[in-house]
Amino acid sequence: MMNSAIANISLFDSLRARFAEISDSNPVLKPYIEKNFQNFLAKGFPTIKNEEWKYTDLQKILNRNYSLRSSSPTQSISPKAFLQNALHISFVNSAFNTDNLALSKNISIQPLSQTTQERLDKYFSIHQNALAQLNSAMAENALLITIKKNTHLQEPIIVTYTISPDSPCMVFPRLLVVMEENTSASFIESFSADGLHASLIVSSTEFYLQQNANLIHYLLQLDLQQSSHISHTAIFHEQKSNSSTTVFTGSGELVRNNLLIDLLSQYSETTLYGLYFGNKTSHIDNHTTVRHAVSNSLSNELYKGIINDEASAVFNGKIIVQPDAQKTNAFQSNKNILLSPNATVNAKPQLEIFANDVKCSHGATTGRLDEEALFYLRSRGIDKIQAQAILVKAFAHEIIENVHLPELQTYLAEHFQN
Amino acid sequence: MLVIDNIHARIGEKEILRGVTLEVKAGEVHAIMGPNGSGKSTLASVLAGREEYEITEGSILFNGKNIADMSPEDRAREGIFLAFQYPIEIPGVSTINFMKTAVNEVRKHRGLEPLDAPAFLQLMKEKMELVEISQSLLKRSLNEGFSGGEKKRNEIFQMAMLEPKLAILDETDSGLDIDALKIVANGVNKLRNKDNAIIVVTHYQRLLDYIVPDFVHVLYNGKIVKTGTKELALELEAKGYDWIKNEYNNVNA
Ligand SMILES: Nc1ncnc2c1ncn2[C@@H]1O[C@H](COP(=O)(O)OP(=O)(O)OP(=O)(O)O)[C@@H](O)[C@H]1O
Ligand SMILES: [Mg+2]
Repeated sequence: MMNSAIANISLFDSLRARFAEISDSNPVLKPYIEKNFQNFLAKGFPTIKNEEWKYTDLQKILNRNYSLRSSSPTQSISPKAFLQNALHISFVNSAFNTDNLALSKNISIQPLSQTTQERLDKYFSIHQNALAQLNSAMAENALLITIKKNTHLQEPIIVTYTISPDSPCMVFPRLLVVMEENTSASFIESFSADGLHASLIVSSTEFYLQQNANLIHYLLQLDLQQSSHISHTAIFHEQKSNSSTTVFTGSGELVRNNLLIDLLSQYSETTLYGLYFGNKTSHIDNHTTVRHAVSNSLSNELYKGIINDEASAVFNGKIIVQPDAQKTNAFQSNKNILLSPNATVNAKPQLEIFANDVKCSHGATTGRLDEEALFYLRSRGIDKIQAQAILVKAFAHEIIENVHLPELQTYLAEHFQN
Repeated sequence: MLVIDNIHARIGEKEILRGVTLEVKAGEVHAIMGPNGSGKSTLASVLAGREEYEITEGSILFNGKNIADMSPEDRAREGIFLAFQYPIEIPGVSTINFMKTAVNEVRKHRGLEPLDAPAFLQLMKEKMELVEISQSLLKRSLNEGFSGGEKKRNEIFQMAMLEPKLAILDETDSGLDIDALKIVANGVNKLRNKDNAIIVVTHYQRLLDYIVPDFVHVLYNGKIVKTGTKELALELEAKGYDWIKNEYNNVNA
């Protein structure tokens, strides 16, 4: 019934109504989220007139009715074998579930509302873009994970987000991770939705890396079915911290990933990998920003895409080297393969370099599978379809081979076979 | 086995083969020689089924079947193998990982069961010994960083794995040192039997000392302009091609 109740009012009105409920029931967060919500309202949803959204039109998915209240899950989607381990946090429909976690005292997990005021000030002021602000306004049970000083986790922390509502819904998961000094940890975030409804996930994940923190992060968008996902991932680096983030996208009607790496202190290093596979009419948009704020930091980025059928992809990679960021090394590469004449890619590197002693390189290529290589394999008796699959797999391999978790690597190798 | 009748082939607007006629019977070795650019590799590609070449006239029968419209994979399954003059690099694909698919596709076509992993490894070991190639090379990305000789050896290794009925070796000898030439030629000879045939494209007599041809053809300007026995290769080695070009040009003047 709820569904029909919102059917005739605009998305804005229902967001307003839902926001009022959330802010009334969260007195601690109220002043913070209020500000974010006002900021969002002032800007509204981005349209294609916004340069950052030129090739990604949200209108189609925003013109639908979404339920903004949680429902209990209609199907249980059990996570893949490689996603099961002791440190498994699940987000189902609208809430995190942290029960039954075998937590050591080196990790703490708490609702964001229970943290200090100083931190709240910080966490609610970082986002500039409208959808991230909407996320922080609506994320009523945002979760804060802290990896305590000198902790080195062997096993990855797994966060699964599962959307299985009784009607199409819009959800706003928000996760914050603080890695204290001298820590290492890996995270797998995996998003899935059942195939019954086209929902919309607007998520945000932020990592705060203190000195000597080492993060390995995987974002998996492999089981979204016909749902859409707008994600925000931000990694803030303090001195000598390292991050590696890899996003794998192979499902969803519309996927937009905003990734921000902020190298705020010296001797930080970051690697950004992405592999996306678009088919049918899917649309996959990766916008990345690496900001070198101070000297002596390194970023290395490689995104690869395989686009089939009528699918479209966007890659926009921004590298900002600020005036003080001398001795910056920043490398970026984007390679796309089109498997069908109707597939499209818009790739754009964007360098904003304000320092003079820097090493930067970038390149973007879009092409078809190599005809010579196809002929070679076919001349050995391998049919065209299989030969294509072999070449696609080889293309994807350059990203997949960097996955340091063997089960995940095997799973991905099979998934991206075609 | 192979009957090529008056084949004309072009790429774009350019006619490269202008009426090649050639018959190869089971058990035979044919050498094709001829100046650079005369169309030898084009003929090899046309036989292997490269789609860029358009056949405008003539026919190719392989074991009685017209193969002109057959896909490259079907020709390979029927038993045609081309050892490329310039084997390409394929990053991320190792010889081992595509050969398993290839061998089983060819077996399926011949009505044989697919090989399981141990049987495949056994076959591979046998053939590796035949051409003296190392497993580490076969595990690397195809031809990436291979020396010229390693590339050619890898081609013959694949030939050994697929056991073709008709093997076309396009300048397999170029880039091989004397020892490697002997090894490769030896490997090829061991694969020879009364049921298969080989076309050797080469510029040099050297290889023909080891793989002794029954016939030697000279391809010039897209046509076979002279056919002889192995003595013709010796004569070419001594005299070059001018006399053949002159003969041809006089006749066609
Ligand atoms: N893709 C192509 N486009 C245009 N011309 C081509 C193409 N492939 C071959 N040719 C031309 O066709 C002619 C024959 O080439 P081919 O490679 O068959 O010669 P070849 O006899 O094998 O020479 P070589 O002894 O140097 O290997 C040459 O003039 C060549 O430039
Ligand atoms: Mg040639």
